[in-house]
Order: sequence, then C-alpha cells, then structure tokens
Amino acid sequence: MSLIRFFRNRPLVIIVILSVLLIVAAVFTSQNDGSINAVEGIVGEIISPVQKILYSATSYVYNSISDIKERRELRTNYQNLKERVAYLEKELLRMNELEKQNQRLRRLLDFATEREEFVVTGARVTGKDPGNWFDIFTIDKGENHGIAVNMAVVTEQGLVGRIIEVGSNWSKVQSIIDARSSISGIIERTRDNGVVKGNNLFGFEDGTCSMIYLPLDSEIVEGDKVITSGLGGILPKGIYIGEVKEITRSKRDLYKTVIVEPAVDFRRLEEVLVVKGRTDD
Amino acid sequence: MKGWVICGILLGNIIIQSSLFPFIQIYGVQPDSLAVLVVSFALLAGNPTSAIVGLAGGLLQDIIYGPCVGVYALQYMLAGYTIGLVYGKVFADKMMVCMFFVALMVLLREFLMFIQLFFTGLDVSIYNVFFTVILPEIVYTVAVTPLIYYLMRRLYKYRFMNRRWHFGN
Repeated sequence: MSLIRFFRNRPLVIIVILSVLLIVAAVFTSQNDGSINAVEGIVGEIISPVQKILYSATSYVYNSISDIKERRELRTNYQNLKERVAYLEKELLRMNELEKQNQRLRRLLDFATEREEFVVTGARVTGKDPGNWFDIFTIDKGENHGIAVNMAVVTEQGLVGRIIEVGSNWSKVQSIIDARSSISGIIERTRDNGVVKGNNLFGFEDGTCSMIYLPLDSEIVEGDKVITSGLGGILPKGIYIGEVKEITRSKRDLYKTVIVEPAVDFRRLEEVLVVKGRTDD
Repeated sequence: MKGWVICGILLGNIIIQSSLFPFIQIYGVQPDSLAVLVVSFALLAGNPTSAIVGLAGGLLQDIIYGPCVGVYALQYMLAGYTIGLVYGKVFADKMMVCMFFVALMVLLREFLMFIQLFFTGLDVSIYNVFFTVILPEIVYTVAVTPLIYYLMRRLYKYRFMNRRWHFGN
C-alpha cells in the first residue's frame, strides 16, 4: 500500500522508470534474430486482415486518381510531343537496338517465370511503416507459406528488398532504399562488384541507392545496369536492382561510388514475389 | 469502458496510419495522427491518460513497424507526459491551443528521433532534417488536427470518458 502511495505522489518517478525500461528494451530488441515474438505475432494477426482490405481499397482509389491526372497531363503535352515525332523517327534505329537490350534485361527481370524453382510465393503488400523515416512494409504471407528471413522480395521490375522478420501469416520486408539496407551488387556490363546501400535517410528521401566500394579503374557509365551478385548466398544472383544514375568520386576516395536508381516503383507497390537464395534451402 | 475505447482508438489509428496515409503522402511526408491523439488526450484528460496513450500507441507502432521495441513508445510517452502537465492551465476548447501543442509535440518527438539516430552513428544534417522532414510533417499534422480534435472533444462529452485515472493504480 505504501509503495502505491509512494508512486501515486511521484508521477515523474514512474515516467523516469518507464523511460529507462524502454531504453533497455530498445537496446535488447535492436539485436533480435529476425523472429517475431509472441506479442508481435498476436498484434500482427489481429491487424493484418483489416490492413489488407484498407490498403487494397485506398490503393485502388489512389491509382484511379493518378490515372486521370496522368491522362490530363498527356493531353497538355500532346502538341509538344507531335513536334518531336520527326526527331524520334530519326532515333528509331537506335531505339530498335535499345529494344533488343530491353528484351535481354526483361528476361533477366522475369526471374520468377524463368526460374520457378526459386519462387516461394506471391504476396500482397498490406501496410507500410507509418513514420517518414524508414522503408519497412508488411506482406500477407509468412512462415506458413514457406517464407524465411533473408529471402529476397522482387517484382517483375526488379529487386524490392529482403525479408527481415517472419510471423505465421505475415512478414516484414526491408526495402533496398532503406538506409539500413546493404546488399551485394554487380555492374552487369563491367562485372564490377560493390555494395548497394539504401539512401532513404531523413532529409534525403529521394528513393535511390548508393553503390559503394567499386574499383577506381572500373569503366562504369551512367545507364549501366546493376544486378545482385549472389555473394554471401542470401540473395539469388542476377536479380535486377536498377541503373546507374550518377557517378560520384572525390579525389581522396579509394573507390568509386555511384547513385543507383532502383527499377522498382516503391510508391506503388501492391504485389510482390518472395524468392529464395538457393534451390536447396 | 474508457480503457477499451482508448484501445479501439489506438488500434484504429495504427491501421489507418499504415494503410491509408501512405496514399496521402506529400513529398514523402505523412501526418502523425498519433501525435494529435496524444495531444488531444493531454488537453482533455491530462496525465496519466496522455502519458499512457503515448506509451501504448508508441508501443503498438514499435511492435508492428519499429526497428526495435521502445523507440516510438519512449518518444510518445515523454511527449504525452510533458504536454499533459498543462492540463487545466490552458483553454482546451480553443482549436489553436491544440494546434500549437501538436506542432510542439511533433517538433519534440522528431528531435528525440534525431537524437536517437545521431547516437546510433547515422550521419545526418539537422538543417536538412528540419526543412525536409520536420517542418513539412508539422504543417501536415497541424492541418489534420482540427478534424481529429473535434471528434475527440465530442467523445469527451460522454461521462465515462471523464473518469479520472491516477498514477499508481
């Protein structure tokens, strides 16, 4: 009784104790092994179905509005585009070449259809981190569907991210543009290896990645394609990540850094594929 | 009854925040409706309700989306407790009062986030953070405040919501 009275008269003491407990909890849970604990599992099971319905509905409305907006813009630009037709015809030959290149890349991108043994399951995006700081989202498939931590998440456009936590019927995905994401990549043309890190840190939310630790003598040019290297055995080799947007290097650096524009449209993610690193996993 | 209503509000909030808000983002920023709820509880009920709402709402965010459990909970609880201290000392009926405290809360919470990330070793610029994330988020959150605060004031017209909670029981 005296203890209750003590706390009742000292709310600040309770707040300080709770703050310390939360800091300790944050430190401990920041080093978790990727599994979702009982509390996370129960809360996720309750929320996930409702999220799924709401997300689908709002996604439908958003896409419809976007389509109308895009059509209006296209009409405005129609006249300008007409004038450019002549110029574009001259570019036709070059475009044919690009189309062939595009077809080659498309075959690479259609990872799921060509190498079905890698595909674990398709999944729907059910929610996104409510904060403005990180890029984590949830999908509606989990352990019961064969998903495990570190499996790659892709769309027909390319690599989305990797599974970081798995519940029974839902999983958390860390996208490649998240500042804490770090994966091994390779420049398709020059075969230079590097590490692809996300750039979405507050203040710099431009949806790009940086590819670091590239050799100084590499002959990378803007537009080069970046794919996963498969090093480390976590992600499968050959998944398209994006293309080189900009090459940056200061004189003091011992390696080159490039900005990579991911192929995936992270603002309109609805369906994804989960794939595993090796067929014998 | 009051506890169940608050639980329902917090669950509904996390569902809407994670499902609906990604589609109304402006330049990658979305409103912080939990901050508005915490401030509403602080002005309409004071402590410990606002601190508990902050703690519970923050924990829910931590569990579902947080990189670790405790980060959001600490921010919202501290902000809820601090603003709850002014309960009874300001005109809670004035919308501007609520909007002012919401702006203050988002500022306080984002600075706490900035400090936490700074100590985890992430190289960030306070100037960029303020103008590209914190300021837009304050403006956006303040813009949605009138709707949420209006609904909260209507809720507090029910007698069961006015039952006082105390620390230590």
